[in-house]
Amino acid sequence: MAEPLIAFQTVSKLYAGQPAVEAVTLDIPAGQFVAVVGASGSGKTTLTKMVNRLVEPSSGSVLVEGADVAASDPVQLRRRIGYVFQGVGLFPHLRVAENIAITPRLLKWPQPDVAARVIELLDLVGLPQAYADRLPDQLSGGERQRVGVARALAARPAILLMDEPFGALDPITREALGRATRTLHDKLGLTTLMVTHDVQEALLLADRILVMAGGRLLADATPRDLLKGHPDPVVAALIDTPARQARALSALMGAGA
Amino acid sequence: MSEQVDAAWALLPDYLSQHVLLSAAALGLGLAISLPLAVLAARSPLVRWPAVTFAGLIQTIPGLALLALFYPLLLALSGFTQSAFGFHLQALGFLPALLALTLYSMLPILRNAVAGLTGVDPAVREAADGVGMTRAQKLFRVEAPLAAPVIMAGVRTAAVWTIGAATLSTPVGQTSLGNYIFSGLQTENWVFVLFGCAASAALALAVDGLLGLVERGVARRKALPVIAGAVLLLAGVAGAAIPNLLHATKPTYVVGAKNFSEQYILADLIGARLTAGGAQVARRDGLGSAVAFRALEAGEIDVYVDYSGTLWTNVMKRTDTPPRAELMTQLTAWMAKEKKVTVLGSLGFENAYALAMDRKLAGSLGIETIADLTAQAPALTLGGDLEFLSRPEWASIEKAYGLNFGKEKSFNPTFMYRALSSGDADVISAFSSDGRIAAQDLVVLSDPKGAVPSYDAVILISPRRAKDRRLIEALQPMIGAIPVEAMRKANYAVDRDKAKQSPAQAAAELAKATNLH
Repeated sequence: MAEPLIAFQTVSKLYAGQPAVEAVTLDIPAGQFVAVVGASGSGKTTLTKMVNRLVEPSSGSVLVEGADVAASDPVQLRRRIGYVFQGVGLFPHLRVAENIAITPRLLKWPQPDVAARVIELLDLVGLPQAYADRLPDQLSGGERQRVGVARALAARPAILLMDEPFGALDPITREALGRATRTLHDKLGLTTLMVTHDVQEALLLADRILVMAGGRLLADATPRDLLKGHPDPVVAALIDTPARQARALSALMGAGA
Repeated sequence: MSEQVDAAWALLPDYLSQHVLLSAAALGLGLAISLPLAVLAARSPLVRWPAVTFAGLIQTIPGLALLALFYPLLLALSGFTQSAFGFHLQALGFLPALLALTLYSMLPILRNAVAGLTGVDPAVREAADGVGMTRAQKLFRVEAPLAAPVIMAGVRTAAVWTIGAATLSTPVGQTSLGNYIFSGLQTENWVFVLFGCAASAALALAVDGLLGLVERGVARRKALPVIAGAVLLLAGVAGAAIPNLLHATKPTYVVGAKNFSEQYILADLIGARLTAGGAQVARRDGLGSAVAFRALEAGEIDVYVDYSGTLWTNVMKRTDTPPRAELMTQLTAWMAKEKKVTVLGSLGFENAYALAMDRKLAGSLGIETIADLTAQAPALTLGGDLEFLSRPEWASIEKAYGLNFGKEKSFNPTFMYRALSSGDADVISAFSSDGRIAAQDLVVLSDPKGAVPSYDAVILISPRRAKDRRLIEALQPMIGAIPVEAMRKANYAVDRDKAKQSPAQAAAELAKATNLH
């Protein structure tokens, strides 16, 4: 098997003596779309932030492309990993084009390349070119998060980290944006690690689902396998909710037909 | 009235340009210190607390005291740099004013900048880290632009404060719009006082308006108002600086004056004589009594008029009161030996601390000398000027004659004389050369026990000018040439309410009356 793109080796993180992430070991091969689910405080965001060193592990190591991230310059590391922030995280004082262009500019791309990349990315995330000159507060929540995705992808990263990217959006926008992201993932050959508390979203978009609770990794399986049931009662309860809803919905649709 | 307004307008270019340069320099220095400090303070609570507390503490010191405190501080420092590195630090004038105002401007800039920088949304801050910004990139591309409107509001406040407080730099020898206010207060020239206040307020409003334009531009991220405001501000500072640079011919002599009418008149008279001889003359007006002598000693002023008794008690620290001629001889010798200061000679009149009463009241109570007061004092009220009651002269009189007044009150000199006519005081501490003594028909009580030293008005020359023939020859004719009546008349012309003269006009008339023109 090829070397994993991202690897966690018995990684733990303590906050004031309390474990937020506890002895997690796992490999993520290139090209996978991985969703991390769990309740608030389960450690899923902390786990993700350790990949680009927004959070430093207390023990254990995180490897990206086989190299320990602790040995790399965090600034350079972050410039080659896309990150979509919880909420929005756009720079309110910069226009859409400037927000998207931020990482290429930090990498000192030639100006024509940056301009071309902005045009390309607006198309890629399905935003009209006229939006380039708008400020973030002139956009809707869904449009803003599309800009967030475009910004994360601007410097052509191999890895995309997403922290509750669609949490604040209405269900219709959320579903559309989720599918668009998955399409981008496939088209660009990305390796994606997405944190979400929405199990249904995870089941529908991801290749692989990590379930976390109290800092520990309780389950690591494909959506199909998880839906078949899981010995851990916490995991089973988490997965059962959308499954039950899906059954109820299809019964309803059957009754109406 | 209109003559005084004309006189005020004539002084405006000099006062305003100096005021603008001082305020701009202080604000610039304040920004240069406060902004980096605010960045450190925003990052570390260890810096934040002491920095903001210190700046707040500075703000609690009255502006005038803060300015005054820098004088002895710089004087001590100047002594050190002189002996250690051989260069002289200016303790009077621009430098102390600049440093004090810089400290004064720091609080609003620091406080707003810290609030602005720490107020940046943590999510935005994390996004800056997440896209791969270095700390410096995060500061300049994200935190500073987002905090800029709050910082600009602080800069506006600081600018208004600095322009206002700069009027207080007159007593430390820096020319500013405060010269109108200080000289106006002393000579009761209310036109000057109002003119100074109005000019300083107009300047503050104009600068605040332009900075407001910049602030709005920054907040709305529009370049045009920012550039327009900045260009106009810079043009104003440049406009103030250019005449100063063009006139950069160094003055030949610096004439000092303490803060009352007689001093302004005599400084004008000295200045006029030096100018007539072809010299360039600069002025340091409104100096405190102790500041003036130390400034002369340090060579920051070249010449001024002081009083023999004041020097005797305050500089020589003597408590005995020898006869007038004996005191002059000892003073002249001591000054030459101990301070290398030349006492050129007495102008011919005394300006002594004296006790004065209304002539009618004194007559009806049968009082002619201070000794006659001893028995009647418990039924009378003494009015002193602001420093008289704490001066050694008063302690000496009180002790020599066993005076025990029923009440003692302090007044501003103007109100002290009025208190006599309104009955709020029965006896006052007058100056013997004050024009109001004759004008209000007061009687000066004689001092038969010689409790107070004599106060001959003397010309003092700084150590480095001791052998300056041009200076000495220009001033020598003034020695013994001014009788007390002539000085009283000139003082009154400036102090009276109606048909007021400016000190310069009074000096010109005094010169005519005493054949010194």
